[in-house]
Amino acid sequence: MVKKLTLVFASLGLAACVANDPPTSSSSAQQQSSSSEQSSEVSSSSVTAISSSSSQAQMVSSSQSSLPTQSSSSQSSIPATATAGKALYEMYCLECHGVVGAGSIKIPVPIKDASFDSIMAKVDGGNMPTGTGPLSGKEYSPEQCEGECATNVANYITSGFPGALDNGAEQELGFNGCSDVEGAPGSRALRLLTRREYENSINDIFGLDLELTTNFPPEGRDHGFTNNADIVQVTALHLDNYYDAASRVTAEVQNRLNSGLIRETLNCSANYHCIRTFVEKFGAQIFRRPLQGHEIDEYLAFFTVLRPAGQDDSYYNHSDRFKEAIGVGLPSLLMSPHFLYRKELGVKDGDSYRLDDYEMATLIAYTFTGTTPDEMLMQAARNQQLRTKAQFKAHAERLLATERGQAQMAHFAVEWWDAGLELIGSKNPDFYQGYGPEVIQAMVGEMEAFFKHVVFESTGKFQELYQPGYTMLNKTLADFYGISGVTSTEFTKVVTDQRGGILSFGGIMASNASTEESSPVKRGVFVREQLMCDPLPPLPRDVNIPNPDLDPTKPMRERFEAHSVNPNCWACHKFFDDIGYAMEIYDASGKYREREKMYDWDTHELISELDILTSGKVINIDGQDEHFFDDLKGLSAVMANADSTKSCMTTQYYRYVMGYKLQEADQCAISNLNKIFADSEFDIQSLLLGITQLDSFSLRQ
Amino acid sequence: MNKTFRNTRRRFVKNAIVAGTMSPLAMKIAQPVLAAGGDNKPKALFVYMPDGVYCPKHADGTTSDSEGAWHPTGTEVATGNGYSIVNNPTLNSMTEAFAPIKEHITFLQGLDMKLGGGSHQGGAQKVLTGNGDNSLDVILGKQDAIGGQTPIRNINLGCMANFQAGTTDHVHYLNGVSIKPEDDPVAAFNRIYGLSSSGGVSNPGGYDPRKDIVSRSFQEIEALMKNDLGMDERIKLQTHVDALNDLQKKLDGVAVGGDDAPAGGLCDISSFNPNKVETASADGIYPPKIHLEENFTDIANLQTDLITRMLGCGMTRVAGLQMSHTTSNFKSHHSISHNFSQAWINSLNYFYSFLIKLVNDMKATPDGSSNLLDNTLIYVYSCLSDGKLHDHRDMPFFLIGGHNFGIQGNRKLRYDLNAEGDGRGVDHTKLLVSIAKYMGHDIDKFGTNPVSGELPGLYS
Repeated sequence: MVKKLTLVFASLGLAACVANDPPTSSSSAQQQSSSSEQSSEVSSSSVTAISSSSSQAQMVSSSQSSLPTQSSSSQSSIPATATAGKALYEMYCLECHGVVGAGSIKIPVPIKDASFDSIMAKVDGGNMPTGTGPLSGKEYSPEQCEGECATNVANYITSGFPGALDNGAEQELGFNGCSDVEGAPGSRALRLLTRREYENSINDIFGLDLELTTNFPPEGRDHGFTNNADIVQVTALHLDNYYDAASRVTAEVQNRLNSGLIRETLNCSANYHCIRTFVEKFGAQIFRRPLQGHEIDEYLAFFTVLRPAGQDDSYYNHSDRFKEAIGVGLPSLLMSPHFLYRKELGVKDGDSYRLDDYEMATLIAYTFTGTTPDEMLMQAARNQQLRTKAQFKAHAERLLATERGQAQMAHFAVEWWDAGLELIGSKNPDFYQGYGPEVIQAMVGEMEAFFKHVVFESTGKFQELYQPGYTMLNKTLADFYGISGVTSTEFTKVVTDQRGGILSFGGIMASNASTEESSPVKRGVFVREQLMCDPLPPLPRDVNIPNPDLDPTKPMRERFEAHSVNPNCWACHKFFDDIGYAMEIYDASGKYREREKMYDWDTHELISELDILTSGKVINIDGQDEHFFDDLKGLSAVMANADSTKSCMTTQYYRYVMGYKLQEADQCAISNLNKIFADSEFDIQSLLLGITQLDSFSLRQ
Repeated sequence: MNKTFRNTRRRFVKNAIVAGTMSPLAMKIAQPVLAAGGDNKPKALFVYMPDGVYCPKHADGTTSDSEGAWHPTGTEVATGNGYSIVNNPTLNSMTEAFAPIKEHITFLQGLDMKLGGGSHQGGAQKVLTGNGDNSLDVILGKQDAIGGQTPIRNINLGCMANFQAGTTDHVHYLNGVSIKPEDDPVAAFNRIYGLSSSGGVSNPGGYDPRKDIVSRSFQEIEALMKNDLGMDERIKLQTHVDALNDLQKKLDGVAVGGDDAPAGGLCDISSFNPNKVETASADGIYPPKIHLEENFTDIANLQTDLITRMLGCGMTRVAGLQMSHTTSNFKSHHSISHNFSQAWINSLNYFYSFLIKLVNDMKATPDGSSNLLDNTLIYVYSCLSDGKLHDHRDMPFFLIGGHNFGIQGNRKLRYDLNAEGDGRGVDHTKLLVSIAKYMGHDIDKFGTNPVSGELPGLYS
């Protein structure tokens, strides 16, 4: 059975969990709702017709009803044909059309009153759009539900969704809300090192500063994150690149055997035993665990493969032969799956698997520094001192106090904002003079410096991410933005009315724009999906999506007016267009502008300058609410005080740390992390460290 | 036909010495044994062009034949089999760049990507997969009788394809995961032909540890597999094993030849990159040389040359080439593609120029009984039909070459709108089935779309 509701974002999950968890729900709800202007609900809802917390809980509960644990007795009162229809409906229809056909906010056309014939005409004809489920991101293929499938689904719908909200089923399924012990939602996994992790690890192990991954294939990204273990795989191209990099590293190591970190680590002179020392000490760093006895012998054989027959160990009592042994042997360690994958396999502990000491050291290291474990983590693992949540947190705190730790958290933020160096797009130089690689690099620097400043130097509070009243600039970027008075090559705090906070970053603006024009649609979708964790339905396949023609008399907003005139367009665009219009004060290159410039794209002639209309409303940010704003500052205030934006940061951080495609099983862990965040009054460091306090941090299934 | 590669370790060691001590571009390395004269082996090349063409539609979604639309025109001769034939079609402003190679082209009209996601990324995801988990090039490479017969199962090259690209902006898929093209032709060349890049370790006697490393990795993965892993992890490790097998095969394949390899010609690697174009960038440089617009011409010429060499030399029989990526930032191509203009035609013609050069190079390359073009079926495709409408109806697909296997050129096949009873032409997965069959991979359907059978008329 295909899983249906992945409670990726806290919206439904939080509501469900809180509603069923009296000891903590009231305080959490209080704290979160205090920032909401018009909605009294705890969290956002993505289902129009099911708006109360209890209904949401029912919806989540019902979604569990087709999990493998489903008991047959739970549906004993439901006709068999309806049961089949229900299962198929959940497989093909549920996320978009809702548990009882009321639709979701993205698919607002309800189907609960549709006739059998009209359903068949749409479904049996293969006319349903395929695409990504708005909640879970799972791929749905409703067009494949034809024939008997379509008939069963149509019967189920026209029968009134029997069993959909069966509370008895909820109880039998054991879904009684979330407790503080959320269990082990994540599967045991092998997490392939990202390019960044690979390069950091090797450079740190050997004291190098090499760029090794230029030709490595880029990772796929899940919600912006490159470390998702579910969407990476080693191909022949990877292996060739791994060997090429290993060969280059080995040559560098050979040249540094008698200096620096390598000599310090080995602390021995050229001989056979020193080769063994190399295998033991660097092997342990490369594998992030001590090598077992047989592994040492087996890898030692790689290093001594060229020893002539009849020669004893004294053959290596010479620096050239020692160096030669490193040359032939080291690539084997660097090509090993034990290096390439971060293992999270654990050891059996009751119904779950608990990550072992070295796996914990590895998880903490890559989460908080993006590189291999340092000596203190390895020592703690050796001494069995990585077994409690307090121990996890202590190391996380230690690492967050370091430059590397803070840089890694900034890396998380930039991936969350989906605007890294590889994503910020080029611009047409005829219209955007001064924009180029240096500016793009500085835009990434702005985001990193800002996040580090907020979290580690300023209030540390979530609200400052949206309403800081300043940004972080260096001379390159300040000059490009047209902000005077910045002379440093370092990023420094600059108070300006023109920009400040997530919704103003040049990198995000330029990423979500074409080479010529800003894109209110892309920017609005970005906010909805990345910052509110409210994924939108896939683009329709058979609907023409014409870009509006250039009209020098109309600002962008008016050129897109078809979105609001055509109800088919507005059904989705109402969720993000106004958000994007508020960001029209930044042009395609991310530069602030008072007015929109209209060019003749062929002659490059400036035709006119038009007022930018920034006012609007954002809807369904926390449930079925709506908030009006005059400009981007007003929108930022809404974002800063909403619940869904905060729980979205929680979800994105959880996604980054866990590194897999989230499932409904993760909802309680996310909910518990939300509680930690809320209890700290949305202190970001508390969130970053709070992950270590979840059972799911160290448990796998 | 099924020649195996001799695993001559001594010879490989000898070659590896050269790789480690000499400039890669000045050396000669062993090649796989070439096909005997007269032995025509089918080859496939998948060429991606970004962001659709000008293909306006009527209100009902059918194609307008208005002036300037992409599809060539001419007198249609109905066959009664669901399609018409237009011989010697008249090219228009969008297609006239192909006049020099028109005699080799089969234009296709009336193919529709009926199911799957919409717009740019939806089209990119399904155009080679038919909404399945693997793209056709990957599937062909996996076949023992196709990819299993060459040192490289299949190759996937790009021209700035990874520059400022979204995670769903590419067309090749393995196990449901997008696989990215190689954008650096020199790095790809060195990798494919087993040459070391500069700065690597140099071992005594040219010792290469890779076969031993492969063997060790097999053992370690086998041990990992015993951890009662879930299905996803097992698939992941199995893919790693497949990659190890491919590396092993390549090492074996490159080892063959040596004194047997023909001197000169495309199999002489010393003739690659005659202008000594430097593609590698120093550490810390952004963007790298391969992603600078001013280098696109050099990069594209090297990539097309590499493809000709690999196909002509029997290094692989399945190749892919991606020009930029969907929603291409290259010289504002995506922005330009929203309105019919000479600028759009010029931008596409620039991409087409490399394809035309490639076709001419292949035509000039002896292969089997005639030339490489006659044995190679080139499938040229995009992610969209009309760049403004962002639709998937009446896709601008066409085929080039394949004449030794009965595919004619200089004509258009126009499929009836109601060929499948839905007024929407023919599902494009039938074309994918036809390409698979051309390569000897006998399937009846491809992807997940509920249609089967091949595209009629290709061999008529």
